[in-house]
Amino acid sequence: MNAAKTSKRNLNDTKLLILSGKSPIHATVGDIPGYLNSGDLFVINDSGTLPSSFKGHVQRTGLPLELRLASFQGPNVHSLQSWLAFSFGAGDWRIPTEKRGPPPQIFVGDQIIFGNDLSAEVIQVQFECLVQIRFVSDQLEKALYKYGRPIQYSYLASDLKIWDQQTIFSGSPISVEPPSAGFPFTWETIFRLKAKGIQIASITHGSGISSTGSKHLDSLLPLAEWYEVPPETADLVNYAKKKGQNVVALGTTVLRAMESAMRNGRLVASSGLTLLKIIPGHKVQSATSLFTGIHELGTSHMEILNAFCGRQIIEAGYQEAKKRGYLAHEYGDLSLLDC
Amino acid sequence: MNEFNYFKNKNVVVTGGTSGLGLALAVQLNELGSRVAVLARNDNNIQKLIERYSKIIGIQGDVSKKENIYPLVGEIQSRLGDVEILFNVASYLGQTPLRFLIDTECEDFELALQTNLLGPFRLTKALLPSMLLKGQGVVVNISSDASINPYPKWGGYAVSKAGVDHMSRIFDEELKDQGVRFLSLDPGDMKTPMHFAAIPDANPDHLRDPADSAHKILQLISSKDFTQVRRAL
Repeated sequence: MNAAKTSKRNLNDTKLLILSGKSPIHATVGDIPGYLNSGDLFVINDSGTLPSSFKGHVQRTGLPLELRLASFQGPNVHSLQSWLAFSFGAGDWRIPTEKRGPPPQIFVGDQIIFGNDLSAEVIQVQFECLVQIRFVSDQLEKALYKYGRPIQYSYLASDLKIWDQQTIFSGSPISVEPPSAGFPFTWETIFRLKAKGIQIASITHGSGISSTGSKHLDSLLPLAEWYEVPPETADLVNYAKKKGQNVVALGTTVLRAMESAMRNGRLVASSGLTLLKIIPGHKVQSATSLFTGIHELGTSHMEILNAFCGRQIIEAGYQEAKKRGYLAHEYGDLSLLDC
Repeated sequence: MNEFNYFKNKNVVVTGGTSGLGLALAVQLNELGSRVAVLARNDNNIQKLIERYSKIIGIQGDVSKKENIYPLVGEIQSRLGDVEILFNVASYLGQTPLRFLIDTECEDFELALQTNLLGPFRLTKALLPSMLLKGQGVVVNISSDASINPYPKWGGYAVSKAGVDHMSRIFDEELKDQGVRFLSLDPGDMKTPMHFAAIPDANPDHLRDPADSAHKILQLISSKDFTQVRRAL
């Protein structure tokens, strides 16, 4: 699958691949209201994206590194201190992480210095270069934006700016990479859904890092990620399910949050860290349909899709999408799994 | 029931909230029990404000610059939460003494548009999602009688405020069915640093106290009368 080369969004003209177990349907995002029914529920992730790549050095040794935030650790959206992060050898994002030197050794208690007004304390070394950190600053939010740079994608022709990373639902900045299934949407499309009697509900989920450049490290993904399902969303989902209506998740982060909050077939208002991995064999209970981007076969995202529709349907659909020139990755086209 | 109960526990942002009308709004909203975040460029003025009003959240930043908007919004989201009422008060008058439009530097005209029109547009756009998801919210833009009357020498400022009026009308037309309402309010001539910068020999006795204009604005919002977007108070 070819990757989208630019962050420019095609919005309503974005291609939409609909997989339902029958022949794939080829539509556009502008057609979406026609595929949902009055009474259906559309659930979105309202997190914003924080610039999550930080250049710094280890205070003990003076050795430089890149600390790339990997996932938000809570305990709520008003505290941006605690994160999981990967440490990489120093270098620009254009140098693949695996081609940089090894990251400097880090131990629990080490201080990583980003500037006079921002540092991070290493709380735990979880696995090789995967660490849990706690940021320290008198003006934390301001300092995070001062030193953080957007995580970039090598397939894009130009650097992403902070506004390129936000969806139309963007709120609390707890995602390190955007919940990108929302990128093709406009509020006009959302209003059309509402006018048709489709309700909109939100969850908050700190979308984690999607790739590290290392197959070895990527096998750890997804990491523990923080989520919150508010009471009103739990009520709306349970009501829609009781009435036999569709519950449509916009993006795999929405699905992960909702599946993590299912108890005895009901969605429960809750928040916390989830370690849930949605893989083939997992029986999805919360959502009946899933909007997601077009992903590369073999990635962790694909496991979620396979869990939703079955490997055979996904792979057949993707082969056809490839022939028809669908574009993959964060700024590419969209699929709707309705199996 | 107190007509101002509406503001209790509301999350409110006031730009330009360390002087003049913005300060008056921030102080009154704080007293009414709103959770108030004030955005302003001058950090010293913010420190003075939060020393006096400990519950007010002070956020330093310049809304005229595009690259500042998401950092400011991220800080607002983290320290205050989802915003329910936004007051776009921060304004740039232009170089003083004021000049004819023909004598206005292009860059100065541009700065007026960036501060008074594009800044509020960007900040509003970035703060609207939570209002739209909840189906409620109010955005108040501060206008001026110069948006209607072609006063000589008020060029860049006046043009930007005319834009603010129409931006407010269009936003309101598009979003009123979603529960988010817009006002563009001319607060009248007030005893503010900006007014004296524009008209140094203005007679203070002929000018309103910004606290009175702020009170009228809050009365209007709490009455929920949004029938007319652009109004003079």
